[in-house]
Amino acid sequence: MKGSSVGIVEVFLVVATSTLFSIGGGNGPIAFMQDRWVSPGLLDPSLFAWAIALGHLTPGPNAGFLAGIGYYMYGLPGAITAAIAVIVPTALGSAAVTFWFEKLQPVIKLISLPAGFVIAGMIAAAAWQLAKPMQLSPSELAGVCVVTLLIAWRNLSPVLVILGSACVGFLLWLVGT
Amino acid sequence: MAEQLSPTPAKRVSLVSLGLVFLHLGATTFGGMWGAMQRLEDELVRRRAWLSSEEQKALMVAATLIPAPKFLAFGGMVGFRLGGWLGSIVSLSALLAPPSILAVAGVALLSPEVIGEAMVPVQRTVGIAIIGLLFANAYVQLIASKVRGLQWVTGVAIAGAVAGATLMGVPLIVSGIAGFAIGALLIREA
Repeated sequence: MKGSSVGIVEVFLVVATSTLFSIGGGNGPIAFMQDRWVSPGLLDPSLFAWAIALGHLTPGPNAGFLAGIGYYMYGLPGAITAAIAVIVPTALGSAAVTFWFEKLQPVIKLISLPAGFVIAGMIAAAAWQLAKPMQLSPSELAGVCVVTLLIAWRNLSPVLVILGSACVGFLLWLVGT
Repeated sequence: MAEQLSPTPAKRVSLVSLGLVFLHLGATTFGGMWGAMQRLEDELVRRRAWLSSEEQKALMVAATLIPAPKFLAFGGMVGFRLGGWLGSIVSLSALLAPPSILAVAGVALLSPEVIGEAMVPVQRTVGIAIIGLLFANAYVQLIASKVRGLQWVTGVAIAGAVAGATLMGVPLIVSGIAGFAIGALLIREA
């Protein structure tokens, strides 16, 4: 699971490409990595979700979870490579926008308007594909619905939801032992 | 805004200062770029006077247009303005280091192999929460769109088509790029 079938170059390419799907906000990179690594069985869905959760719990940019995924895929070199793979396109994009903001603005606007919809479709597919191999029970599916409602309609902080779900998991373990 | 984003900075800042400030911000802010807005203003505008308040806001808006995580894009642009290419790399590295180190420590140490069997149900319930979080994020992306009416319906149809195509086996990058292309043709006005 940890780098057994994925090379360091692939870690760089997948993370760097996934970063480009950040446009419009949201979790576009998650969808891309889910498609490349989780769906083909190279990364366990629960580990993938765990790294995402840690990204929400750590300070600073949420993109820190990408290093966690890089670690799963290729150990410490994978984590460092993933961090570099985020930095390179971001530095290029930052410089380009700073230099050519006026020229790029129409192009960016053209892409930005549909971006939210495309990213929404990608994220929805990623969520479905993440759930499928976990074979959720009816009560777990209800849990997914509750979390969706709490975040989408009540604007509950993802940090609280993740900490709460971790507490529920720990209580389930206590009850089960 | 174009004038405010002139690549010529008002002042040059040492790479060490840039690195230390962004390392501190990366280690002590929560809630992404918008959540950290007040802290960024305190540090970069009031305390250091590296940016004007208007420049900071312009950079934050511009950061949302870059195909990269917003907080990082903001850090990259501030670094680029104050220290050129090296400044951009230093700012980005410093900003990303704390969450990356903590995330790697988390995945390495908080695992069933290290903690024990208690982590198995914890990881499963957290996984369920993440699935819910992703569905909610997809929903928020749809309702947060600036377009309305028929264009919005078209956008929702594109979202459905991208999701459907991906679930039917079309590579995500293909369905995503096709979605962007069709969206750029059909969704034009804010």
